[in-house]
Amino acid sequence: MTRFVLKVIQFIFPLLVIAIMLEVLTRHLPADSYQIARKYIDENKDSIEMIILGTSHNTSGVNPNFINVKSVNLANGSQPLEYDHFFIQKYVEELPNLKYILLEYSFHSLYYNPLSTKSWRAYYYNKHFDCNLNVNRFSIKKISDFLIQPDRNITRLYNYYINQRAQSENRVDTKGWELMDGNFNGNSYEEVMYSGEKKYRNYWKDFFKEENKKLNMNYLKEIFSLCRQKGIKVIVVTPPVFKSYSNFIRQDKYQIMQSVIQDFKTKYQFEYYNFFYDDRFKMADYYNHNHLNGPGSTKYSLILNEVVTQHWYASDH
Amino acid sequence: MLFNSIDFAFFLPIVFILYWFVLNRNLKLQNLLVIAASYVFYGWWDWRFLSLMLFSTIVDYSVGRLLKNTSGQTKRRLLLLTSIIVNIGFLGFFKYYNFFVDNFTAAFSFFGRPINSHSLHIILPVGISFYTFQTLSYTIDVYKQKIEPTKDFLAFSAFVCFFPQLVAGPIERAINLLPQFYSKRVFDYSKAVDGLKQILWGLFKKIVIADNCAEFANHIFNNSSEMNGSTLLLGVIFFAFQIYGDFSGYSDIAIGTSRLFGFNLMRNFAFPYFSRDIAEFWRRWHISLSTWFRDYLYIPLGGSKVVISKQIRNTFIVFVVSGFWHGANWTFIVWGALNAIYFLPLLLTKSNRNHIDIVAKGKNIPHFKDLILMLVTFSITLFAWIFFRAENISHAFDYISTIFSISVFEFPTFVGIRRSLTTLILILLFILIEWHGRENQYAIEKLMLKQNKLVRYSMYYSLVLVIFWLGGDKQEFIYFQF
Repeated sequence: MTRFVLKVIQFIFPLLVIAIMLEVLTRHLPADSYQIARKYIDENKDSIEMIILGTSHNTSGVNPNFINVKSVNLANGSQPLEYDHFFIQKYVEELPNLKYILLEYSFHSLYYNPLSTKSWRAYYYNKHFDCNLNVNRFSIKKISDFLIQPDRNITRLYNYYINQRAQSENRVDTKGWELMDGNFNGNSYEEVMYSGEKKYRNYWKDFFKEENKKLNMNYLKEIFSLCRQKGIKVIVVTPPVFKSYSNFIRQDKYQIMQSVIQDFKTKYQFEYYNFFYDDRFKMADYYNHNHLNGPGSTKYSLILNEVVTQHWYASDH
Repeated sequence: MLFNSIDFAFFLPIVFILYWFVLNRNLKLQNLLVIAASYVFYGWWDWRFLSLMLFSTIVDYSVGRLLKNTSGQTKRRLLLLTSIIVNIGFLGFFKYYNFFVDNFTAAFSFFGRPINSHSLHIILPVGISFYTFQTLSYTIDVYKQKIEPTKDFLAFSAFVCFFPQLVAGPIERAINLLPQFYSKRVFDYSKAVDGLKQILWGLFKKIVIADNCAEFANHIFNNSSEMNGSTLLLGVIFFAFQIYGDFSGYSDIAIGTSRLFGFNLMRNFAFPYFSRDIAEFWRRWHISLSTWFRDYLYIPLGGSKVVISKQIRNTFIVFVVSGFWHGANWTFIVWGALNAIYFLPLLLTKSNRNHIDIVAKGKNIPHFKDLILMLVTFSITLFAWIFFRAENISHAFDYISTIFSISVFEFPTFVGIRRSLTTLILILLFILIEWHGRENQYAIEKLMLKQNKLVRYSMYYSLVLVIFWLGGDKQEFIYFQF
């Protein structure tokens, strides 16, 4: 019996050592974007007036440093409305000075898939924001930074410890804005348009699921209703995208997206700004088909600053 | 508590150490520990239903004792009936109440006499179909005087609630498992090592094969109206491996865990997808349930010792009841009936026992004829799985009609097609390992046993890594819902 127990320990021991080592190393990687935003909020709890929400379009698009209202960018890659709703629920209570929500409403927003329990993003929301959504109870992946995404983390570990390369998360500044540096990999206009057509012509085939629309509309309703109840002003924005994206969307779905937001607007009285086809944004302003780069982000943030300060901030002070 | 959870990873070593290192000198205390551990294991899910299990245990223990002291046939029958009513009554209420109410309401409406009915929000207690069948087998065997009723309440309770097989089988017989609770347990090193290996293989089947397949099977079945025939065909193949990996994986973990505590459970799966006809499939799939129905339903109905028309009737009854056992839905009944239809030609030509041994015994590759027979059997099984997995009958028919349309020749299209390729490769690897080990109790039982320690350990470590690395999104065991 003792021999058996010793053999089992002997078998498990190397696995445990490796597992602990990988876990410790992963936990010592530079902070991820979720952690950075959380830290900023914790340090500025009493003075934050606006939170910026949405997907990567807003993460890279809205730079709080160009907005006169004290803001934090809580948008993140592939963040569904379910999590925007969670943040609003959480921070209307926890941020005493919160006045505005800048909410992204992109072409895809209504049909975005909810996160699954498998999602590493769900793990990070849970870890940094005590968000108990989409997390498997008692799954080992709930407690392990490494196991939540082993293949990605192996690359991160290799890049950081062996290649001595800085983490991609380092492009995220202290207020949660992420710099997407570059401009279509230096490709020409024709090449960009061609790759956009190739990517998006059939991209939407399996995308528009009514069940997702129903779910996301419900989150929008709850967001608007909660903000109205708490006296928080909502500014809804559709971020700019390049022609190589906007030319290949489904127009019928775009019309639906517009009519849905107009209906909500009539009911809940918020401001909506649509930059989807805005020609102030040129090819040089984009990192890729639907994300702004540094200069594009500055341009967009300054426009939004005008919106916030002129239309809202001015009326409040 | 799930086998593939952190809770169980802590629970199992604690119970193991207490069992072998603290209470090893006292059989009664060991049995008491098994009962306590089993109640914790079950109560982890929902403690309220522990009372149900305890009640069932007390009733069947008492019926057993009373049967021993009762000689009159009428009184004995009455006692047996009490046990059947209590057990089937629980099962009927928790599992089938809403089904019958809804169908009666629909039937009355159909004949123009709508009635008001009230469906109840009933939670199905996990494993109720398994432990009620297990205790029923005890009272029936005592009634038939096949076994002596036990005096030992602790041993009987442990037999009813033994945690490794409590919620999803194998459905044990008292004649096999109960005596094991009477005898002093001696730790057997090689048995324990073998148990661990079987647990490892079960976890691989569940976490890597079943959980990965589940993601695609669920996605395809849930969105079947938007997909082409080839995608739906792929969906049912994923489901076939999901349900096999899930259920046989659970059985492997259950059997392996029992071996760690010195118990031998019956085999539940014997490489069913290598069957050459449907009779062989049913001798290899969910063996503990198939033999239960054979012994307690088919044979009492006359079995195969009656005229052919009655044999056909008996076969249909067994398969339809077996389908209904799986769930209160017409899809399961059709699935059962379909299997009975598959069985008919074998019954009529008396060829249902043609394939007793495992295919290509002692050989590496099967005969061409066997290969074709295996493919045909697998295909008709796939067809039946569509009904098993579909939401309702019309969903199943829509699914089938799309598979049998021209779109089956189109390229499969759904989100995550690259990941599905990885899963298909894993399935292929899994089939190869299963084929290689098909003459053993489980596929890796003797795999690389003749190789040196380094090679063997590398294989075990690789399995552990694959489980962590390529494990799918954690899903509950399918058979919990039955």
